[in-house]
Amino acid sequence: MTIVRAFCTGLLISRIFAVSPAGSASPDWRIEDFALEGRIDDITVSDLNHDCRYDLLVIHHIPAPVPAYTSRRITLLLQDETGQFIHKGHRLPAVPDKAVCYDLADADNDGDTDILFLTSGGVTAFLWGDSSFSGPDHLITYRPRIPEADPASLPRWRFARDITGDAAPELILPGPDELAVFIRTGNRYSPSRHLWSHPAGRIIQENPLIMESRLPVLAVCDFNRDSIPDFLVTGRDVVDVFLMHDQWIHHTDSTLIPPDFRYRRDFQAVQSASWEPVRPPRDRLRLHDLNRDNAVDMLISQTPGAAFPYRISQLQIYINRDGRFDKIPDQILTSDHMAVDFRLRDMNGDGLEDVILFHLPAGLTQGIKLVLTQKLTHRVSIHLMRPDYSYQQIPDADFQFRRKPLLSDGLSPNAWIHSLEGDFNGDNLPDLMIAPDEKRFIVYPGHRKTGFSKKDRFEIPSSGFTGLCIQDINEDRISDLILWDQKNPSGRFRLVISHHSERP
Amino acid sequence: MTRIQRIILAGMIGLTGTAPCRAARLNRIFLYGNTHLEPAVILRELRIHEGDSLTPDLLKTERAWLLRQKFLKNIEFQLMPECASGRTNLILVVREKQGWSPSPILGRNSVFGWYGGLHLETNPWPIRRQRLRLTLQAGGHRLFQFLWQDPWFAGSLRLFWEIRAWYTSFPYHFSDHPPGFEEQDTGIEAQIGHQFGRLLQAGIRSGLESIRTGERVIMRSGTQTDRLVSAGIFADIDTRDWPVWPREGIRVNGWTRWYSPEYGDDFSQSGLDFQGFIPVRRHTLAVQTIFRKSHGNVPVYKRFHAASDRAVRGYRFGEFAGDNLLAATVEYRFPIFSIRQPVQGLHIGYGGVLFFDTGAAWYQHESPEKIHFQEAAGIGLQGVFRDWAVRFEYGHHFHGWGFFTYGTSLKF
Repeated sequence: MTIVRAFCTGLLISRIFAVSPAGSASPDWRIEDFALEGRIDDITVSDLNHDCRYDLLVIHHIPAPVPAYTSRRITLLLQDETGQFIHKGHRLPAVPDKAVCYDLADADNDGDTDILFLTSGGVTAFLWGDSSFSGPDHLITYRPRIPEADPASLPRWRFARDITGDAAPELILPGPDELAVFIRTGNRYSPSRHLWSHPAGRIIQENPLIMESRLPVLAVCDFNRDSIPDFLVTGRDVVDVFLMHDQWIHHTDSTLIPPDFRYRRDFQAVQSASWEPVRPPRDRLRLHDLNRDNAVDMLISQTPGAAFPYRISQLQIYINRDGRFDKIPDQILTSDHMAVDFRLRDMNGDGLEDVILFHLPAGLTQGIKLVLTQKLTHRVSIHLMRPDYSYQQIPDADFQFRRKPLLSDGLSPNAWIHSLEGDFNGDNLPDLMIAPDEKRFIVYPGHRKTGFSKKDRFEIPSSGFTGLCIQDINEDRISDLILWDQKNPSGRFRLVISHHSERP
Repeated sequence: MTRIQRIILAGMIGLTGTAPCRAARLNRIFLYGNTHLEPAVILRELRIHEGDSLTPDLLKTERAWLLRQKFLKNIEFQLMPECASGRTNLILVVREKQGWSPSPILGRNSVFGWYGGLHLETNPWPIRRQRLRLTLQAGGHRLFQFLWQDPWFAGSLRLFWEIRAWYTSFPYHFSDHPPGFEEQDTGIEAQIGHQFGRLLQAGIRSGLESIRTGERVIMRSGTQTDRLVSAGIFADIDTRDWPVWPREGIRVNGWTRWYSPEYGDDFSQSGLDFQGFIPVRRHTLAVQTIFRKSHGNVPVYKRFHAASDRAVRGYRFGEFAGDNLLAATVEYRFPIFSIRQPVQGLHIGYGGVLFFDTGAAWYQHESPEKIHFQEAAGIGLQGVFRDWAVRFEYGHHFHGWGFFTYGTSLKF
């Protein structure tokens, strides 16, 4: 009841915030502040009750005593027809003790979104009924090889994926030396396929089992251009490709199914001491159809990390040609500085995905500037894809901005420094949003020639926060923001919603 | 065909594990990251070819060599085993230097006083590796120098050329011609040579220079200006591990130059320099000898001076003049803090130095038994940051207070 009481005071402030426009396309924003009990861990936007309106699923931690697992809570805020987020008593019971992660999927094929928890004993679900969730229902009994539950967080891992193309999600769970695929037949899930893949992370210790906390990324996308989505599993340094076809769907043999292709990142770098595997502290693998040929391509970014600036930041690009990758990268984009992150967007409207690199310049010059001005210069470089599916090594556009570094920045890819997730003026071009400080965002609207426009920049109000979600919540083609502070025990979070009634 | 067979035959997967290949054979070299330079301009510097056995030492040597050429900012070597052939692909990821690279000049000696300036160096011009270097220096020793060089042309002949033009002006207030005069030199010189492997280069050079002073007495022409045409040969052997602050290796440089003044007799000068570096645990023992020899009637402005920041320190700059010169130095360098990563092009550090210099200059008519060697011993601090170096040294000549030498270059 504590949470309900807390939520009764939930809607604290609702006001219209008019932002002084610096350009012609700056929208207005409505700010709504909410408060739940405990600190907010994560907020997910999804249409949970199948009413064609986005709802909010909030994971938060109430200040509970021992055991710590019982402190994890999920609270739903459903959006009504007026655009308000209301509670209506849809709070779920406590998250299962041994839940490692959760996912959202229609587990009972009734058209509604259900909540699934992956635990050390299997999968437990809360199914959406007519107006509320019921459960828990134990869907699967299985001992997956997953990390221990972390009482401090409950991440979302997308283990419920439709890989057979029948619109019903399969449950894919990592086991010892396999990925077990559970297919729903009737009202039950049963183990159906066993994929020869062990991407669930490196085992650090066998007994008791200690693993890396990284779970594999499961992707469903067309790999061989046969218009049938295939199943790709991305582990620490392996990409396994399982091609989907009728034979696979009707496969009844219980033996392990090997991947059709396995791409191993087995580079060795030649350093001063010895040869060593290339595993920089911060590397990312992304599967994405860059050239819009309906076949997924692969990008691997390598950031030097601790060894900077004496190693080169790289973005390796593998273009899918004839349903496979070449082992040698098609291209490597490099950076003088730490390319801490990258995004893929169509910046010039030609239908091809362009690469946007976020750089954090390092070195002596940057250090001197930081001492003198207390500000860091960040660089955003845009590499447009050419008709021959290549990127030019020299950026097509460079954009720089300066900001005072915050302690919370760190050196990792960080949403607080910059983001390209949103379109904040409705022109169908991605905008660059940066956080110069903790009180505001500055948005540089996308520009077809220069990348971003400094002249038309505008501000969005912010607050002290450590969590950010960008989504067009009210579906007015203008992105909205959800902000929360993961360290604040008051459970407050803020919605910054574009004020669509003012739209021209 | 089973699925596993398809996987294996696909030839692009590494199911056999990732154990490091200690001496794999090279399959191909792939180059990424070059924006201005043609791939061949970079790859021709490597001494590894298809089928060669790749060892860590070989790859480290090649990587350090590429970095030493100064046209690349950074290099990554990566190995990608090729399962189908059992060989290994070598992937080079490079970052080219671009724009201008400045480096400061600052120094002081007892005759010129303070002088300072800037080296400006263009990084490789598109496609070729030609480089332009401008030197601007003001103060007690004024200098403007234009240097244009191509370290490799004519393909497999591996020739190099260089064109240098300069203007310099300084006070010749040395003890061999009191009270001294102001000297201005203007010249242009071209050289062409052949690179033998990585260690030896040799070639010929020719130039034209004009020396202008206010002292007509010392001029060959009897006016304020002398003009000289020169031609010469040179050879250079260099095995040092890093030119700026070596730790091991030797350098031997020999040259001869014949001068033909517009007025007066011809004369010639030759030189032989030796530098050696021996690592002593983390310290370095460095030795240097300088030998200069003249023939013919050498004008005053072409004399050698034993006391200088390049020969014997601790004395007033420009002391002990002559037509010939012999000097030797022993230095014991002990780094206080240093990071040396030739494979990554990283050289940062500072340290102390103990040195002993000796040398003498004499005229051609002097008999050898009258040659008097001057000695000095001293202590100093040296620092290096990549291609920049600074020093602050005091030399004591045992006959009273010595002299300080400081500047943005090391003696050797």
